[in-house]
Amino acid sequence: MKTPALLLLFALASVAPTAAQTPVAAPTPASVAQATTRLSGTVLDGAGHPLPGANVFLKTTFDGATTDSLGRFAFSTTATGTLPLVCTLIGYALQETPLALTGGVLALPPCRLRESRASLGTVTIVAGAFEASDEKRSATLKPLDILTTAGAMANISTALNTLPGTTRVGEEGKLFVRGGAASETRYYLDGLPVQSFYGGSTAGMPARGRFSPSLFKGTLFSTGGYSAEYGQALSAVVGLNSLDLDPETQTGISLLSVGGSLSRTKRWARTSASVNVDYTNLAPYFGLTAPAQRWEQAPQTLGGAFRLVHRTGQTGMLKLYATYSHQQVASRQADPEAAYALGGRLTSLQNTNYYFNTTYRTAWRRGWSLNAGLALGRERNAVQPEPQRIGTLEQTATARLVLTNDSASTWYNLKLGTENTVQRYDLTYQATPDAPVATPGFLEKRTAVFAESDLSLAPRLTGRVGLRGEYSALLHKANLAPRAALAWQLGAGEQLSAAAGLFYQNPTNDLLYVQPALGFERAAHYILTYQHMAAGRILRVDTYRKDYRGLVCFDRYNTLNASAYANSGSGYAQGVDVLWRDQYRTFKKIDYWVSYGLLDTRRQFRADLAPAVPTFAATHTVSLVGKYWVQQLHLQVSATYAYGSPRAYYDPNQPGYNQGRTPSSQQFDLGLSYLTHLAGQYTIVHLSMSNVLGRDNLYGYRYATTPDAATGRYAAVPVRSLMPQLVVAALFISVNKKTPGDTSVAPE
Amino acid sequence: MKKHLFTLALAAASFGAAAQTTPATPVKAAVAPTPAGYADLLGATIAQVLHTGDAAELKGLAAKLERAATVAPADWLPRYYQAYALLINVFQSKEDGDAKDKTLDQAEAALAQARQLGGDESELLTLQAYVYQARLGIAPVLRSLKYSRLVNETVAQAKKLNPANPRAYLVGANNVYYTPSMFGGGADVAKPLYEEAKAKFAAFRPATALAPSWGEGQTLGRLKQYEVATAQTDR
Repeated sequence: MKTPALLLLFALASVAPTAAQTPVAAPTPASVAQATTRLSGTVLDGAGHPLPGANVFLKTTFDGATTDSLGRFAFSTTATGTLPLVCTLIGYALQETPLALTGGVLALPPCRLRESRASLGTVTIVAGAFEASDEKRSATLKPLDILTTAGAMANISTALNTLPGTTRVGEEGKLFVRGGAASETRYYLDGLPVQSFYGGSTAGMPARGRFSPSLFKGTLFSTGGYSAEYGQALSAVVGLNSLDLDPETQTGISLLSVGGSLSRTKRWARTSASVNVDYTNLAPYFGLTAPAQRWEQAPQTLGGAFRLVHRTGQTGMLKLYATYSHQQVASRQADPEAAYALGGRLTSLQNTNYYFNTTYRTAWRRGWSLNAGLALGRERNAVQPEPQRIGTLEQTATARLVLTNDSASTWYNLKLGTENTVQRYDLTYQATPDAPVATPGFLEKRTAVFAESDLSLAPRLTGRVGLRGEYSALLHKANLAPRAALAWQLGAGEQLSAAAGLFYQNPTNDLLYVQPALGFERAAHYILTYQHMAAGRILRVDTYRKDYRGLVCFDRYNTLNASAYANSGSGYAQGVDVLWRDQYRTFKKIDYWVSYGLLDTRRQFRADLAPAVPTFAATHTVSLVGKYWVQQLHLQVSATYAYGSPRAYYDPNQPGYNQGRTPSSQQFDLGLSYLTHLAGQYTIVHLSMSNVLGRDNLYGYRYATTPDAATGRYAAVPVRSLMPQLVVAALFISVNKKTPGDTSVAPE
Repeated sequence: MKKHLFTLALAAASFGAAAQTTPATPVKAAVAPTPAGYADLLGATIAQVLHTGDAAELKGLAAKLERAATVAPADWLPRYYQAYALLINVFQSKEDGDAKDKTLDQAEAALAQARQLGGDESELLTLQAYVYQARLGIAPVLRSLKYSRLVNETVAQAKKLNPANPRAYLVGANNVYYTPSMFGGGADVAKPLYEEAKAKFAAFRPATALAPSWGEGQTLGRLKQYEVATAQTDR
């Protein structure tokens, strides 16, 4: 297909008689004897550089001219008297000066235009934040980048792992950002915190996000310095914005080698509703590939979701999303404890999750808009690592109300909000099936308020200041977190920005049920970012420093000793992140990005014996993501290569702490999408293969709790992924689409 | 591999600014007195816009129309033709995509002003659809899905408001013409649509001398191409 633009251009050229140009009918007012005035001059910017393209004219007349490349203009007028001379150019303040038209030649002094202050919303402060959006030009990614990244397997966190500032922790699959633990990253759906973003997982089984990336029109991934809107996250925030009305009525059928799903979407004028059910079962797959692990029950998931969107009035939008999933898995794995040396240790897991999210937004009066939401979450997780039985039930309700005024002033806006959370966490624990049941638990009620303002400070300077306050009834403590960010527009598409702030988070559930009398954990972020975006290319360099205080520590050898729990830990992380993206520029059909992260971090927290490099940090991380579109074949090939330098682990047989180093981890993933029609219906055939080269990545060792009586050494087993390689074939069919999908364009 | 529908995602990604073209209630333009000679000058400028294909000249004419808007601040036509001149500039210019997008931003701003002044909604929507087509043309690989649909939707609204507006039919026909045949588009499918547009043009009488009247030449030019193509295959 030739580009429509080109064709349209030919079409136009063939129709428009380009040569024949009607000369301007010279103004010929009948009456007055003509006193023609010839005006000339230049238009300059504040620094005295000429400004081409400015429109200079006499108000209330047609007489005027556009400045040339040297900022010069000249025109004649037959108007007389005194008229305002107007000088305008986009990005500059309009200038109006009265001018007496005397006839004859008038050489005007240079007209100097002042840059107008950046209008709010035109500059996005990029410090720390990556955005995936179709609508914003500042976005680094498109929403579909998440889907089409090889190896991501339609998993949001895995796709975000290809951005700098993250460490891939292959055995967990979660997001670890800038030296932070996985629990330090919080997910928000339409502004509401998600209780449990990841599905359940056991050791060595990488967790998957519960939400399909296709639900979202935009994703904000902030690796630090985020807005006061977000709380309860020490390291990072992922903000997911769901789609508004579904575009059309259709039925979707997905057949996967590991399961399938069915969906039905109905669109009315102001309303859309959709339901889907999906089922995944890896048993046949593992039956075929016969991995070394013995699955007593291969991973199996049954889920469903319902979504309703309704537009009210001109600006109102009501969204409702409810989802359910049930998951089970059981595996027998090698274990360092002597009792399981022969047959391995059986761990089974059952996870049932309900999540409900509803939001309403509307424009209100006097420039205020309202955003209200309610999220409910309920998760039951039962893990049974032989012979223990651990059951948890977590229930959360969060209500949120945000008022925004975008027209408070031309130079600032205002955002005020409150968030209230009630969280109930109950645990049942049995050391053996016959042992008595321990039932610790806690109830948390947390209130947060925040205020934030975007400020246009100077022509090229935009700022954001915010303050967030939280009170936790469980901890009996309050915190106040100031945040600030500044962006300096260096040139078109070039920005230097900085962000700093304090970030607080409750200790994690597994700590709170043992000892609720703890304080908040705290991180301070300092970030400096340079970004240059031009013509399909992005270069971005971030430097950061993060200081942790009040991290919770406990006794490694007696984890249930509540009195040993204290906010006594601390640490730091600092580093440099670099992202380079090139879309179809260097290579005509290839879109690729390279990210590199350098990380220096040490901390002492949880069971750490001494300050050390945490096990989830790699000094060097490299990701290379490429997408190649073969137009003739309607085929997209995508590939991802990831490298992580050696990570630390604690070897109790050696002196020191976290002194062991794994080999580097490397992974190469491939994806293939073929766009076609099947029985007249738009169809995508997808083939995805992770770890194509079959590299046996080693993520560390697990050691027995007590040394072997005979040798005095602690027995060890290596930690590896239970799914070192995964091949998935899929067929996605959309039935009854009104607008037929175009298979001749890349599924971007 | 989990609950993800690739196809839904494709459609979803293209869904964004879908419902932004909610028509504002047209405010009847206050009949403000316009300076003598305004209509002639505007008419001459419009004639220039309609007869040039030169990108630089179109930019200059857009600036002139901006000036015209200060002469008669209540008239929507200068803003409408300003948007039109900027739009045609994008089709003709050799600038890069970002620069073109910025020009289209300006065109949309001018369209919004024309709408505030109570301009003919059907004509404004048609021009908006044309702007979407220009956006598509800047990066067809990335934008086809989204903008092709936006063009269709906007053209449909324009036709609904005024079934006799021939320009809506022309823009709609163009969209089909440039859609590959395997998706229900192509020259053959578009031909009856151009013929329909031609009939609409034949029946159309602009409300005033300066009201939008462009497009007939383009329609006839296209139909002429079909004749030539047929003649060649016959021979």
